[in-house]
Amino acid sequence: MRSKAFNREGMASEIRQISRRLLDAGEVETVIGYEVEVGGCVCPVFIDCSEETERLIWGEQCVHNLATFLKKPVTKERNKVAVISKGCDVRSIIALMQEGQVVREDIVIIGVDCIGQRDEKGDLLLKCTNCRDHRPQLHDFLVVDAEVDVRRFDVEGAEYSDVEELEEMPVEERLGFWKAEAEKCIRCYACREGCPLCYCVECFTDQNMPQYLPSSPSIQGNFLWLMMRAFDLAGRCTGCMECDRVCPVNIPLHLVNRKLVKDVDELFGYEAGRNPSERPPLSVFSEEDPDEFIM
Amino acid sequence: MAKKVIDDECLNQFVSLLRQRGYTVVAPRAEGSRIVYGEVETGANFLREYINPQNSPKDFLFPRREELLSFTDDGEVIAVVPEAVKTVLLGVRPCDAMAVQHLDKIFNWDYGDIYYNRRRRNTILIGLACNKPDPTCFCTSFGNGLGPHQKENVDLMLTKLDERSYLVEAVSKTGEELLSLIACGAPGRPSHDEKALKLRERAEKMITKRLDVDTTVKVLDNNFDSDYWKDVARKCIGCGICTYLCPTCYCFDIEDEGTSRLRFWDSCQFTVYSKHATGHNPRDQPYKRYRNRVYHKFVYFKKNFDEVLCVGCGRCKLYCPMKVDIFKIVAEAEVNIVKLGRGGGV
Repeated sequence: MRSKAFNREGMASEIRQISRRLLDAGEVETVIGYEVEVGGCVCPVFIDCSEETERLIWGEQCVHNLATFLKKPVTKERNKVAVISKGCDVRSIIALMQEGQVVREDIVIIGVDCIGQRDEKGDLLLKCTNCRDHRPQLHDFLVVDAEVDVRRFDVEGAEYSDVEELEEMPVEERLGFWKAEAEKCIRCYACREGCPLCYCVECFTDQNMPQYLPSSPSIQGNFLWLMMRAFDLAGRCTGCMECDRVCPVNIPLHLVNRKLVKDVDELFGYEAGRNPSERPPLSVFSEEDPDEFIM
Repeated sequence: MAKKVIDDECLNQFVSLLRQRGYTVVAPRAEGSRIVYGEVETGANFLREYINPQNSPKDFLFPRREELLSFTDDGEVIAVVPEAVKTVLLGVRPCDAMAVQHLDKIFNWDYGDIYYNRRRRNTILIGLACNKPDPTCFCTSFGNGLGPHQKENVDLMLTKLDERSYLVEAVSKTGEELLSLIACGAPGRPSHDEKALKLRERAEKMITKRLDVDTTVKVLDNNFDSDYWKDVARKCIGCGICTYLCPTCYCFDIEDEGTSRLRFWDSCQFTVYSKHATGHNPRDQPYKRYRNRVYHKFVYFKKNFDEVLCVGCGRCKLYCPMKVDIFKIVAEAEVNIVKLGRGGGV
């Protein structure tokens, strides 16, 4: 269901109206959206009744990927939830559907057009600079931004110049770069908890029989964590960059993820979170799979 | 106690002198876009304008990873006692200095922790008063004298009087000795004290967040089973940022790696933290883990040490990916628990 085209404030009231209708009709138990707190910071909010829908907002600081909450018990124990989703967030939802983690009928996607999100300083987020998903590709409701409706965005295909820069580094220099980043890691696992696709009931880092990597924050353990986390997301990461956003010590985690996104793109011509009926390439076998590495 | 007024140049000279005397000087410095406590090489490269560094003095007294002992294949055990590195923590805010007091209590509770105490005995705290507290700060709520200019918990206290000068006050005997080393600067005069007092009053007024600690403790203690905790923890994603950046959270784990026995930070926000060997987990839900953090700070520690294990520094909210606000949660507990009408009564 497509709304008419709005400005930013109009979009917020449309979001409230849709949420109110859904809650009043008992179609959903909860709406997960954004609110602005007394101090002025925007944060996620869970709305359970229509009187509370006034709290919902829309703007340029709705940076959080709310699809993350779909993997959390707090959402899973609800019968049906609605999620306010930007184009990038919807790709996470599609990836969760592809992997059988989200049942389409159990969620209502309130898709929202997005021209880009900004950090607390007002700078456009890195992930937004090459956005190809200003309009969510999958939704039950679409809240249309007048600007997105008419503006043609200039980005055509995926762009990997940041990864290429890293690939061109001599091996020693690249290792040095990642070692310095790994040194900063405090092993808070915010990257894991914030990632919508990191949903294992028991993370390999939490297993101790056998233990896959040292628990203590040593350079070896940190390095392994950063790399194995990314490997687990190969062919699954949709590039929402929540890992980057939540990392308290500013490790550029997206670079490892994007290297794998690029490899999967080149090897399998596949992009995660696009087609709900497709299966991620690393979870299926095809005779056409590239196998140059064997011989 | 003795006082002096010094300028930036004199402060730089003082840092150089401390280094010459064999002290490792740790102060707030820029690392990328972050401000963190780290070793400074010269007096010139530490920051003078900041709310609080991302990390806290905890990192230097109770490091995130340390070796306790090592052993050989023959069963020989070698105790590893931390080197006595003479350290000066410079620019410590009153909240962080109070946090060190809390850590002192916990690491000397049932027995004296030799690792912590060895470092602590070799650490000198030089405080820096807060002239511009952040809107997230609520240090004046705790009734233990804590405030933006509190100096009781440091050895030497700095108050920035204006763009050019700092008032330096000796607080402890060590502080007196340090102050006598400063050859530059001028003696402190009553006009400086008056200026410092005005700055203090202004800073205290800037802190508008206030918590009624006694009521909060009571309300929490009586409402462990309230659905309120389920509500407030909904947006918590269960990472360990709040606990690791908290200046008072002190939980740790001990594991062997190779031939070393290590102690390293652990967090009650993690699922495995409370998981039993049987597989049973008494804190199996995220809200139970979040509630535990709140209760440890505001109920359990209070019962054991008659203090709340929070200093109002605001780091947990500032760095939380979802902006979970511990102040709001405890301050509004009473009202909301009554509204929910469940739990054990207020």
